[in-house]
Amino acid sequence: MYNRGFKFYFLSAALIIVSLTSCKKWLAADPPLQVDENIVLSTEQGFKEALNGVYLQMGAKTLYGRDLTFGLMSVLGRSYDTTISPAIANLYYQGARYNFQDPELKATFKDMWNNLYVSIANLNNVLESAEKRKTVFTGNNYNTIKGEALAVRAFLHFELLRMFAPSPAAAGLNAVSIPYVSKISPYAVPASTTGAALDLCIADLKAAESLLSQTDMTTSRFTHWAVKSLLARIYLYKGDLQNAQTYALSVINSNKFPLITAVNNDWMMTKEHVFSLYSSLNISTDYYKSVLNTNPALGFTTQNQTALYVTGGGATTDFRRAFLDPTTGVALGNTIMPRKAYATATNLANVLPMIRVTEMYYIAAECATASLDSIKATDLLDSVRVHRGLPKYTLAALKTDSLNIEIRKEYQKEFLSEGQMFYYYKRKNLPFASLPFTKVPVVADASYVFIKPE
Amino acid sequence: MNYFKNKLTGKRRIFSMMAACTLFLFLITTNIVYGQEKTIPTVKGVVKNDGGDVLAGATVSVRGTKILTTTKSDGTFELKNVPEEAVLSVSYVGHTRTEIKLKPRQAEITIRMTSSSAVLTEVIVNNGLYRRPAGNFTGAAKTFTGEELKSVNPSNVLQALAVMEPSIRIEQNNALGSDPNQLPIIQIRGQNNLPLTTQGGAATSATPVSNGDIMSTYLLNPNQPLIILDGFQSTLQIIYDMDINRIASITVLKDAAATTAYGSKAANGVIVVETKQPLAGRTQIVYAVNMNVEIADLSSYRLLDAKGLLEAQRLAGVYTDPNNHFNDVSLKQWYDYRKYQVASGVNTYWLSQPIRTGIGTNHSLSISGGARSVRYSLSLNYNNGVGVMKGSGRERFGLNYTLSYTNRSLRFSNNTTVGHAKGYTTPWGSYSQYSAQFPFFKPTDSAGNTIKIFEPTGTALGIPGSPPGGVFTNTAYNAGLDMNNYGYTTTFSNNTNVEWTINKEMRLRGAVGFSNNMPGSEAFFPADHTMFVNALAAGVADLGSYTQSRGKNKSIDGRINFDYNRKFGVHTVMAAFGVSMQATESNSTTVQVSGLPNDYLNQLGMANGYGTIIKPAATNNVTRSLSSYISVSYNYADRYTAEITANASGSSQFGSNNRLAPFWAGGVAWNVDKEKFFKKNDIIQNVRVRLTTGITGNQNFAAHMSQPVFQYNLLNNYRLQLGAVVQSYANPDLKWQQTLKSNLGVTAALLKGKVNIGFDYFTENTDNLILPLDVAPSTGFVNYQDNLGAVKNSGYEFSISSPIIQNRTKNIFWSLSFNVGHYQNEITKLSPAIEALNKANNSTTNPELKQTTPLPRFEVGQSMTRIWAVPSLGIDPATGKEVFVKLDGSKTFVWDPNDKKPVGDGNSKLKGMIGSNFNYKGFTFNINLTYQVGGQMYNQTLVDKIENVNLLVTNADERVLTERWKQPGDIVSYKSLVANGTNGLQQTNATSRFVQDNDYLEAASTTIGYTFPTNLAWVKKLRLSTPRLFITQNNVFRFATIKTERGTGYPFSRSFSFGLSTTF
Repeated sequence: MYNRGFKFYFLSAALIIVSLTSCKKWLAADPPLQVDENIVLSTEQGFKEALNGVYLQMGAKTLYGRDLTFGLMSVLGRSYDTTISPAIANLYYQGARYNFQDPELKATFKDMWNNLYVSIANLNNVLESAEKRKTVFTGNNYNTIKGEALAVRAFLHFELLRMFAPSPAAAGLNAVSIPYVSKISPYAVPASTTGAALDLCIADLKAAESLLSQTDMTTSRFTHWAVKSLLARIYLYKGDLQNAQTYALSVINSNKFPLITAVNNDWMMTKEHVFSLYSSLNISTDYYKSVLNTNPALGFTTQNQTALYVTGGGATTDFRRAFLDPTTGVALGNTIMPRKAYATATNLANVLPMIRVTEMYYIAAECATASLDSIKATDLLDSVRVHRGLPKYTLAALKTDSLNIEIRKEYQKEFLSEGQMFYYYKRKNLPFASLPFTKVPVVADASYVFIKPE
Repeated sequence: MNYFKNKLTGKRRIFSMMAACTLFLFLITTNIVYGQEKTIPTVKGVVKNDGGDVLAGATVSVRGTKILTTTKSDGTFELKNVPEEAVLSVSYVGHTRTEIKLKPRQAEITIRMTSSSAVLTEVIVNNGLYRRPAGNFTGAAKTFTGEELKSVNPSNVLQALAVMEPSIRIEQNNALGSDPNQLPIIQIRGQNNLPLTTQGGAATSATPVSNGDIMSTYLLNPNQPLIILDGFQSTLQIIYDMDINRIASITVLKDAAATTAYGSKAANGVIVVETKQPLAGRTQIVYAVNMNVEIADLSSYRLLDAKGLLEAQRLAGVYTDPNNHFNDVSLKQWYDYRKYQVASGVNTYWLSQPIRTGIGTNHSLSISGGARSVRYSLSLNYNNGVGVMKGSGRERFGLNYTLSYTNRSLRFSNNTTVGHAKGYTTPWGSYSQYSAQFPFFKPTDSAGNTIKIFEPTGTALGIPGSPPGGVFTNTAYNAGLDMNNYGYTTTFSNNTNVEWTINKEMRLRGAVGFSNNMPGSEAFFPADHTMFVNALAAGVADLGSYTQSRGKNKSIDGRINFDYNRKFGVHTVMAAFGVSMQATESNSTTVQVSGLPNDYLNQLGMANGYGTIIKPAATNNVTRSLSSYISVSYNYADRYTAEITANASGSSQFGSNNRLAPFWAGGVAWNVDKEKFFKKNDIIQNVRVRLTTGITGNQNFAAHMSQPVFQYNLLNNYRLQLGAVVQSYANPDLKWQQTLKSNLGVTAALLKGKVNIGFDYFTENTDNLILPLDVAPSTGFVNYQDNLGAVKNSGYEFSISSPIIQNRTKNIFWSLSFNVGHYQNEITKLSPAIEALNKANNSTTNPELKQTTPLPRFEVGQSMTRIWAVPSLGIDPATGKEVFVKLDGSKTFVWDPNDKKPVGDGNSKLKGMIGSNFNYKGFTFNINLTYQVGGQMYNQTLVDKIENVNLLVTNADERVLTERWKQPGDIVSYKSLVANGTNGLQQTNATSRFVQDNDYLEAASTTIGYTFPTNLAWVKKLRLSTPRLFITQNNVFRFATIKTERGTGYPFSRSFSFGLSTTF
């Protein structure tokens, strides 16, 4: 009798030992409406989806979907000269005044900061998981995923730095900038200096440069060429003109991004994009309509259209003049709409340019100007001008100062309502009084530095 | 069957006769113990209970033999060929097993059984995992029989439990009143969790939903005790819908020693429900019918009548506009119109319009029987609960079938339960709409048709402006529409138990259970419903709505238990060891459509489209848990008991780094009266002291807090590819909450059993409370969940019961009982995120924030139920304004949220019951009074009906006219009258003026019953055995210090139950 009892005692004990060893697996239940990380990141496709998730997040309304491109950022960059009523669009009214202390503007900054860092956290998650699960990758895919994640992480950090830290021109490289977050953790990373943050961006990008293939010409993802272009942009911002020029020229001289000669109603000039963010057509139309088509109806007056594209070094033949649609002015008062962000059968307005190859020409030209090589600079500018329906400059007319003015004007014309001009003015630390097309006076304590929420 | 039995006994008779013949001569002289060698041909007897009533259906067996019978309806039995001096063993439900040794040659016997609840020492405590005699158990537990509970409240077992057990509290829900479709919010020994939804930082109190999903009810009420039904985890919903006649007993397990075997699910206490098991013997049919009458209790309402309201509105300036002459004229015309209505005698008492006397019935039939080896029971139940609001009710059907097979050492049983409950929501809408309705509106027109829109338009009346307050609709109109609004749930469960008695000392038990619970709801409101009157502009295409939801909650449980009991001399060792596993999956889908223009287009598919809601809502939750325990109890000489319990629990809800949690508990008990130094005396007969301590856990939190999950973006794609993001930081170190429970208990019997007392003192320290922690947004996350907080509960329970009269000869029994429970709560640690929440609740700039009610605020050193409001000195007689005291002591007219101080506590210090139970012959008279003392309440309905009342659209309390400030010098309790009290500066925000003591004494139940004597002619003729008739009245009276409109959304009710039960 006893033996029989103990046998069962051992039997049940054995059963328990078996169940305890397999229980770790048993206890890992996944909630089906959300998908457990272990499932998503068990395949290469999952890693791609995680990166797509970041690109989709970047397309949010307060990020590149609207306010970091044709929305707030273009208001700050003076791509519009509309008189904005504070009752209708306080955010843009305060933006036009550079009144960064305004609660609504501050809330938007907070939103941008938070959401960009959410994207960064997701990239860090991809990077950490890829490191742990190298075995799921085939071929060169580990390098591609890692390179892309590193590059986007650097891109977003540089964007945050350009928004939330003072420019080197204003405060040097030792000013406090932003935290550079490179791992997933609930503990905050202290803010780096501008120089250190830029070096971290550069280090990530250099790593990505060697990981990413030179033959991948996808523009909707961050590729080798986008990395090179971003390096040129960052070196220029940092003041390392030599490296900036090297990287800019390497993109230009690769001949992989030929300049177009006619727009053919593709106002975003998608063929010249090195990196662009895709948004779904419905959403981009929605966002576009929220500011450009209806109140506050951001736009440009025909007079200023002429002032920008025709007066001075310009000409009526500049086809970029049609970025603005003169047929819309009647319907919506005195300003006319930018046509770029408005989707039609041919205009892919949902392809938002993040880096265009023409910027490389301007970076190289700016570096050449600084090293007093005005011939090279003029040449680079002319390369773009001839592809825009403009005549070449007459050599004698261009000196260093006027070259810099021409470069700025080209930036203004080329990147109208793309959100790039603010960064140009900030990089140059342009006095607020010199900002063009100012309708409402800038506030006394205006600054180029967005207010950090933390 | 009978033939078989006779054959067996016949065989034995022959064998015994032969044995007797051969051995007679040798054995007669020695008279040795081999008693079975001598038999008595017939032993006749009768079985009675301690009250002297005969017990029919009791099982009588002879120990050591297979001789067995059951008592007849007159309580008698007959046993053939019983060995001389045999031990007779008698068992009967609700009574302790009685064993009596026959005297030599004794052939007639009367056996008295004592009901098990009356015996203190012989009680077996069943904690759902193992059973242990109370003497070997050190934990704090209390068992109630189904009959006891039924006599307190025959229609709501949970309410009955709260009356009887001082540690159980049911949160009174003023808004939902006696709505039959609302589950009570129940807790044992206070709350161990912050009443906080951790999403979005908004604090709300939890309301359990009626869907039977194991996980979601715990998530919504994290303080809910674990519910175990026949050994398997169950839901409050299932107990709520269960036929009370099926319940054999309910045990409340309170301290660590009693609950630790449940490990990470035990911290909130455990309620163990055991159902009646089939008894062997003659087929027994028990039928019980209960009629329940519910009458609405409207006594707390003191609303203005038509004339009074019009006057109040006039005084408040509803009918004047000093700034606009045109409007002024128009408003005065409206006043004249309404005054004419009043003058013509319109004075509708709206409160009674949606009210009825609800008459519901409960039929319960059970058939059980079988031989010793195969037994069965079938019970059927139909319950039609009818609410006091017209059209509301809850209908339940239940079927339960148990089959058990017992052979020598093996016992197998299988139980199937099928239930269906359907809860109807009243088509009359929320009751608050009727207390708000103007009495000068007529409910019906002269032809008797229900009016939909009360007043003609201004144009129709020739008045230039629109009426003050806008267009008024009659919600009563909806009652005439053909609409659907009900929820239902169908449950199915099947449990199999196998028990193998290996030998006298060892027992192995295994059980597998499967349950499937399918809740759903349908809500159809046609376009004609008054809710769409103001939405007409939205277009006919979107009017009318239909919401359908379907859910499915599955759970599979399995467990193996091993018991070992051994007695060596004065040592008793009892050990139990077991492993259990549980997997639950619950999901639900809700679809809402709109555009159903007519009430005969009453199906989902007839809708025009989805309207503004473009996709179905769905939830899904999967959990898995595993738990193993070992519990050893050692008893020395009936004097000292030591008990140790350990548990290891694992759950999918814990962080991936912390999947297995250990818990332990230890306890000692000492029977002081068994000591030698304890002299026999007349005052104290029995004293037992228990001391326990241990750690239990709580895992009532959402699974995703610990697991990183991706959310797919389905509204958008990235170049035709899917994208997914991680939204929150999953804390891989997240742990279960831990509660260190200690309990000191004393039970004593005094004055030869005339007074029984029980006292328990407890402390519960919950640590690792899961709270959100705000992090720097640059980490990419807003907050994450971590084990950060701690709370402490302490309190005591005291009960005394006294059988004052126990006169068996005259058949008079009278006993009194009294109990009291106390607990207090203190927050000992919090996360900074809670501080931020407190600050947000004190914001002066957030227009969304409603300060008219005291907002929750959690501070270390304070209780979780603290009421925070600005101290008030009352109404200034000179100005009619309220005078507040600022934190620095200065006085002000300006209300500032930062001046809030703790001015009360929602938790009552004492809660308890006073009961009397009187029996005379067949008559029973029970009364149970419940009381609550020492808590406060913010009298929200008073504020909302007197000060924050918008006279433009709602009716008000009559004190609006009599007790509000009118002119300088008035010393009154309430501010001056204005048209719209919810408007701007006039609004009354959380003030100490409306914090009132919430003490009450309530007659929770009064029962009068009569059990017919079995010798009555008609009883015999109908072959009934214990016909019983009883009337129970719940909430007969209530004395309360606070006068609130109770039942704002659904009225409270008083109920009467008429019950009849009998056994065939």
